[in-house]
Amino acid sequence: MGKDGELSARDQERVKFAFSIYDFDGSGNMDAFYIGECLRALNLNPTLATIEKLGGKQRKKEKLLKIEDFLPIFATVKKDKDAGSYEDFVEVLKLYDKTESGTMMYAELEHILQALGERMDKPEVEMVLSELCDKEDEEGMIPFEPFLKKLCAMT
Amino acid sequence: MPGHIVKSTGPDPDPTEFLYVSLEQKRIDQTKAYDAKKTCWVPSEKEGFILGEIQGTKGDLVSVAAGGETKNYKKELVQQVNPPKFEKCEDMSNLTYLNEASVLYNLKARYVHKLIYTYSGLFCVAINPYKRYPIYTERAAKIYMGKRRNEVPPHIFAISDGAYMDMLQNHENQSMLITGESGAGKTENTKKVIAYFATVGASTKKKETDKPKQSLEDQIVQTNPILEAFGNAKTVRNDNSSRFGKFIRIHFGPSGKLAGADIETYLLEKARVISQQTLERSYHMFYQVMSNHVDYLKKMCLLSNEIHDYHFVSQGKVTVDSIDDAEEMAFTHEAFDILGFTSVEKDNVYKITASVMHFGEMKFKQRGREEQAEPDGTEVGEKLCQILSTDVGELYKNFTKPKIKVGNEFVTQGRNKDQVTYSVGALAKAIYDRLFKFLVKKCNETLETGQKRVIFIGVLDIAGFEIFDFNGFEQLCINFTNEKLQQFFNHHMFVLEQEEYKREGIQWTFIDFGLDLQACIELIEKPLGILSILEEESMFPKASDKSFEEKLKTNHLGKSPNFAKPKPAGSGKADAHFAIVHYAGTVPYNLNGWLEKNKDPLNDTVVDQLKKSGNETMQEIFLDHPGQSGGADASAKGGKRAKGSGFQTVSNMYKEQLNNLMTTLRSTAPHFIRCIIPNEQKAPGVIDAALVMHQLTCNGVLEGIRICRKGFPNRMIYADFKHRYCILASKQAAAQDDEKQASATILEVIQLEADKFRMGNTKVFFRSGVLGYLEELRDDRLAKIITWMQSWLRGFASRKNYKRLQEQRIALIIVQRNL
Repeated sequence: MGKDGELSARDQERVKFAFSIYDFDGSGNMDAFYIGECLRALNLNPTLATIEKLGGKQRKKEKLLKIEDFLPIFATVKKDKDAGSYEDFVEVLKLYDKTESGTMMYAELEHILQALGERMDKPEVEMVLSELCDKEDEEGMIPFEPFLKKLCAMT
Repeated sequence: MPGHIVKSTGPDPDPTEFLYVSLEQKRIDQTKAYDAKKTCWVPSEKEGFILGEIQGTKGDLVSVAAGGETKNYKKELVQQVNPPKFEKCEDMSNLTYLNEASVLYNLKARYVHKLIYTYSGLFCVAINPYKRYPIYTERAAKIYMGKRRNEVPPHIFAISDGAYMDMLQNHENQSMLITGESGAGKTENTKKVIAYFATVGASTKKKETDKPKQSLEDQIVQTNPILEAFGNAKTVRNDNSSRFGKFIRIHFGPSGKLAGADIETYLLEKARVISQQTLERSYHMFYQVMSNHVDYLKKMCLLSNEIHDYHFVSQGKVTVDSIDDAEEMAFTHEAFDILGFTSVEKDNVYKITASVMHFGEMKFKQRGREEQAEPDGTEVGEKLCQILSTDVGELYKNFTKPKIKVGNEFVTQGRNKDQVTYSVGALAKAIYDRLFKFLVKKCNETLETGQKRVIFIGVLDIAGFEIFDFNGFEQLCINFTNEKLQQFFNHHMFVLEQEEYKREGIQWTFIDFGLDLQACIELIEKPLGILSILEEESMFPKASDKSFEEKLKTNHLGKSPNFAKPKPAGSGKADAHFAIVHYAGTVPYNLNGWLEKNKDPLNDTVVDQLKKSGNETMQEIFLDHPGQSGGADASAKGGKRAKGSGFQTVSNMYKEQLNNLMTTLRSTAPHFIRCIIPNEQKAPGVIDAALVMHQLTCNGVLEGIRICRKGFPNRMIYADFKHRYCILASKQAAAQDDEKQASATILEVIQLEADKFRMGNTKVFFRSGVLGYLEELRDDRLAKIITWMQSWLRGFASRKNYKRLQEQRIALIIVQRNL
């Protein structure tokens, strides 16, 4: 990133490319429904609240964006440093580590993701966890650090 | 229902769902909608309290949307709701918001989920399930044996095991104080406690001896059918209501093995023997005798087949749906054998029981215009005298023309019909009461094993506070007992708190909570107090209800803060004469007939005759009655007694018993169980909010919480605190090795005010409500981090998808190029 929040040329290229992917009909417009998807494609992890604040829509065909509209959105999210870290996640999952052995119940992990914060639905949770988590042992436990490492290595 | 322990065959059912909140339920509970700033309790007539959402505040008024409407409530009526962490909390003293609504809600939430036991600090609260839950089996008992209270879910077994362990470790006598209203389950819980001690303290040698001799464990349990048959009755609320209080001491030998037991009973309700309300019944025994289970019985006792022939015992119900009198008779009859009664004794007891019924049928008429009664037929008297082996002519003569002592001489006194009828009733009541005491004494003889008694656990099963529309002498006695027991509790709690604060090195001076009740206790028991004035007036020949009332008012009205004028009673209710401000509420008392009740006079001439009857048991039950005062044989029984020793008033005896009880209790480490009747329909899973709130007030649970709130009710050991709250300052806390230091750092980072907490040696102490605030901070922080984690997970999913889209795009371009 350049100074004063200016995007580097390389970033601009990446954003333009991602934008073009979500510009399905090649008209130079992206449906505001895809703002979140597109930001994430660009290795950012905005919260649902942030996406909504920046104009993301829950339904299609409510609003269209041009690339000029999208670049500042990307810049804003990229600038935001308050986005969590591996250490934060470890602290939270430790709360569920009753035996202090670095493990927690898989079912509990599924549960907190569905019940707290910006809730996810069951298929969504199952899809991501099946790829990121180790297999549960006989007591239904998983080690949580490998999971978080994988999650955080993705970006 | 009389709960005889029927040993079942096969494995015990799984008690888990009746003890623990399931994991699934916990998850549901944790996700309940909660907003610390908006969620609140507001009063509701039907439910007690309902959940509402605060819409706004204007001065002292809070606008709350609850139950489908938005209303303004006064600020002090709106109570805070505990965070989801505290849902179905096992110990309510851990709640961060210790308000009435939260206490009621927590008890209710647990009760409807079949969890009948909940702790409230030192109290174990038990709500009558009105259903048999499989939580008293051997399998359930195993969960509790040798476990600490906080390792296992709340249960009377946990308290029992705690008492047993404390006894062994500290070599100190223990007591279990079980109180509650009629129908709340005191007696059932008492039985479970005793059964538990019988199990843990059973001698292991038992198996090898196949002798028919009964084990002590069985004998202790077998005293129950007898005590229940003679001391329990159907009341409006409870089909098997104990109409007496009891203190059972279970003695243990040097190695903690059962070594014997004894029972002391308090204040059997005598009035029931000769009169019952429409929906009530007299003592079970009368109907058991009439049940035909023992074939020779009615013949021996000269009883008819019609219970209504005996009006003393047939003024209300004569059968009870939940009780099979014949079956109960089988238990009673067998229990007599197990307790070692001879067949003669057994028959004597039955005969005396029947005699009470016969007495009610003795008829008298007035002779002419004279104030003199005479027999109206002697048929009943003949039957009576046949079963009691005494002379019928004497009996009638003694009733109608008793001898009284005037100066140094005996003269006969003519009695009118009303006087005679009254004295027959009084005698019937006295006979039954004395029979009951005799049975208790016999039980005690059986439970005296001769083994070495080193230490004991006492179980007190006694009625709780009674505030009725009409409160008489009996209510004063029971309420005073409860006032004393509450003071005992308050003091005990104070001592424990002090000790804990001292151990933790915390500077904080408590006042002795027991002193809160001192004024009321003094009003009743001190010289010139209510009981001593009653005593004095009972001795004074010319005293009347009126003079008693005046004396009370002269001495206390306007002088003792706990002595008040009663509020005028509503129409149709009897007026009260004075009121006492007890901790549980202000109780209006009506003092009509107290003097008479307190003197409890008997026709001594008839007593003398019975003392010489051919029924040895009858002789025995009157053994300690002096009979004709100053009679020829009076000097024979120890002239040491002070004058008037034969004349002990009820209040005097009661005071003496209560003092003895308190002395015993003070020498023990107490454990407190509070039984609650959830509704009056005997419906499982239903909580009548007003009824339960009233009991929580009366039984001291709310009083205990009031005391809690004064200090630092919530406490956590440092490791637990750090574990739960370190996410509030994870980096700073991680830098500290020491758990206490880490905890201090966390509290520093969140800038908690100094008066809101204290750092002890091993624990951090919080004022009421602070944990709720910490929970709120923690929830916010947790939600934030989890939201981030979710965002990262969503990012992961999106990027996978993006990769797919990218590949498709490339494929498309290739296809286009190739076209």
